[in-house]
Parts: sequence; C-alpha cells; structure tokens
Amino acid sequence: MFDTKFRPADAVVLALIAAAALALLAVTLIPARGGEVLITCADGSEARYPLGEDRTVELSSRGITLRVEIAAGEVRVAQSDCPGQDCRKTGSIRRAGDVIVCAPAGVVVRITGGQSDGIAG
Amino acid sequence: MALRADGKSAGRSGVRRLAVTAAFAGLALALSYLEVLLPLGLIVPLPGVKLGLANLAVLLALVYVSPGAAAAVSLVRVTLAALLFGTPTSFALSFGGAAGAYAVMLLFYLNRKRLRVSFLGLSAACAAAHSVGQIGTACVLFGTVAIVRYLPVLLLVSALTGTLTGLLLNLSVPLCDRAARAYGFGRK
Repeated sequence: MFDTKFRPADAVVLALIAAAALALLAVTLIPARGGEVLITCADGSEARYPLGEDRTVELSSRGITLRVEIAAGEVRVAQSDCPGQDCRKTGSIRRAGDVIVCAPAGVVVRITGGQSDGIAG
Repeated sequence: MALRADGKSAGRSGVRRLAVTAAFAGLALALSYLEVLLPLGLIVPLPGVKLGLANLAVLLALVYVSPGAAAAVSLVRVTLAALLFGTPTSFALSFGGAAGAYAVMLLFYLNRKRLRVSFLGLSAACAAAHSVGQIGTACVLFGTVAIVRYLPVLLLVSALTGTLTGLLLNLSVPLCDRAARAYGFGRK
C-alpha cells in the first residue's frame, strides 16, 4: 500500500521528472538563425513569413480572430478573441522550434529554420 | 445511513462501491470547477497548466475502491468538465492527459509493494504523465511535434503541482481512513 509519509522513492520520482525536464530543455534551447514564422490554421492552411521582417498578420480560424505580430526577430499573438487567452499570455517567442498554440482556434504559430529544425519537425 | 455496510452482502457491497465511486466523481468535478476559477495561467501562461486537484479524487477512488473505479471517476470527470465548462479541444487534451496519468497510476498501483512510494511520489508521477499525455495529444491534434517545446516547463510545473496534490493526499488519507472505517470499508 502507498505510504502517507515521505519516502526516499518519492525523491527518486521527483528527481527523474526534473532530470527529464532539464534534458528536454537543454535540447530545445538552441538559438534560431534566419528562421521563418509558420502559421497553421485549423483547416490545415499554412502561411510562412520571414522572422527578420516586421509585419502584422490578421487571421481567422474557427470563428476566432487573431493578430500575430512579427517584430525585431520575435513573434507574439498581440490580440485574440479566444476565451482562455493562453496564446496571448504565452508572450513572445524567438527561437527555432518555439511555438504558440491557440487551442480554441486550432492555430499553431511556430518558428522554423535554424539549427533545431529537426526537433521542430 | 442506508448504505452502512455489514461487509457480508455482495449486493450491498456493490451498491456501496457504486455510491462511493459516484461521490469521488462528484468531488473530482467540483475540484475541476475550482481549478477553472484559480488564475494559475497568470503565473505560468501555458495551455494545460493546472494544479491537478481533481487527480486527488481519482487517487482516492483507486485506494478506497478499485483501479476500475478510478478509471470511471477520471472518465466521468473529463467528460462532464468538458460538457460544462470546456470545448471539444479541451476534452481531447484532458482525455489524453487523463489517459497518461491513469496508465502511470495503474503501473505504480500494480507495483506498489516493490516501488514503496508515498502518495506524494504517486501523485507527482501521475502529474508528469498527464503532461506527457496532453502534449502527445496536442501533437496529434495540431499535426506538429513542435508542441513538445512546452513539455520541459509543463514537466517542471507538474513536479510541483503533483507534489502539492500528494501532500494533500498524505494529509487527507488518514482522515479518510477514519471516515471509511465508520462505513465498513478501508484502503485496498
């Protein structure tokens, strides 16, 4: 039966989770070089924009309107009609493989290119 | 209390198990609603970040009823939470997370004598598995493995939230034991 007092095995479980997280973090923290911004909508449509060129993209997916801003080598969702606002709260992304997801709209904003293209898929 | 058990009647025992499972399902749904009200997204603004308090009810169903009851509580919680305050996407993500957490829970339950973890370790492992299941489902839903980028942060957060839920379980199980004994059943 499970104990109700802290056991050494608990520390092992927590250490394994932290080690897995840090290993994944190390693999994914590789800087982008000359990346692109790939925006995918729920209907499967895609659009690509250079990360180095500032612009604002307005898009609509599943009835939700998003405004994506590319500026100074960073991308963020500046405005969204979605209920949770998680995409807007994610803030700016700047590395290859970084991603912003708006689950209600089915929109994925991703930076591709650079060295970590492999893990970005 | 009509359901007070004498421990002899299989039929009455079945009704008692059903009633206790339903009570845990209700508790899981109430805790899910509580999580909707908690603004954890302001601290860690990533989709899928939750305290995982509902897992407390699922784990209680596991130890006081059966692994099958825990699966039922988890499924009822995910389905009703999506119907009441979710979306089809949130249902899919919750289901993927719950399936991952349940798989690890079952693994720990079947090997509990060998692993010798407390509820804290069990809860943390379930929380981490929930994150993995959720990210896996999101990768399938959105057709990209890029979402794996969220996993390191979600894993670290799940270690913290799982520890918190585990501490709550470590504190509440002795109290639940006392209440359960009054109704003629105990931990499995």
